[in-house]
Amino acid sequence: FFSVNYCTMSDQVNADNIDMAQVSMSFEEEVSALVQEAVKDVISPTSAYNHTKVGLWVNMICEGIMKKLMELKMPRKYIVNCTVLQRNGAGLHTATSCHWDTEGDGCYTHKVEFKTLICIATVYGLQL
Amino acid sequence: FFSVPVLLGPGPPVIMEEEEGKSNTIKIYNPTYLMKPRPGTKFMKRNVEQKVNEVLEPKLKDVKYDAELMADLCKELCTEIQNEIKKMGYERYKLVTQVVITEAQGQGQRIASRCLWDPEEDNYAQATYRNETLVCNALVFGCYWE
Repeated sequence: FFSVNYCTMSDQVNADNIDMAQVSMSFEEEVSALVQEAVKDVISPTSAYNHTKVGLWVNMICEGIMKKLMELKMPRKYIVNCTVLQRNGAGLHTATSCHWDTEGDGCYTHKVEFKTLICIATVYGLQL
Repeated sequence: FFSVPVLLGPGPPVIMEEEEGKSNTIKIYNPTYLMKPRPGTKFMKRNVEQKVNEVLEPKLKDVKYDAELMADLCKELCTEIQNEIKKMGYERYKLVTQVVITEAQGQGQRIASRCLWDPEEDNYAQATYRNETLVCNALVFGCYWE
């Protein structure tokens, strides 16, 4: 049997609802290194927010993360979301709400802050 | 704690458990082993988009961006959108809702998503609401689970 619980999450990672006893590695651990590497490959602390390049960066980050996730070859569906925001003092709030199976599914968010831009990459994994 | 087997339409029975004193019901879903959703229960992008817009507009109509209030508003919007979509009757769909509220200060912003799923059954809906002081972006992903 699977129990479907409703959970609300903010942009902070909440790993409490993943049962550590049943899975050897939580979704967060599996995926964190991949996501951080994929983001580093595209943007560095020296990159400045550039209106023409942002579209390209965002696509490259998403595709980079997706490629690495596919290599894991797990029976999962993935959703990768990436936001790149220019820094000018404006505020940003993100909230996530998921209706899924808390045992097999998980999400991971990675935030990087540089001088002129902020990048937030989120990965959701849904087990089949 | 009592469990009552309830038949939710044609198909295997779903056991709904109700805890006494609590309003949350825990639904236990059995796998149906159906590769496609039943006719009429497929995630319809345009209906979901319409619903999300219906939720966003009245809630954000005269709202001014305020850092303290926005955190709660964001979560509230997320919850409400999720509840509304659940009411629409997509039984075998796992839903992921994401809401981003940004202050409109003339900065640039780019949001992108990539998904690895079955394009015939799974889909997403996106809605944006713009105001003088804020921009709100809502994304709803629906993944079929057999």
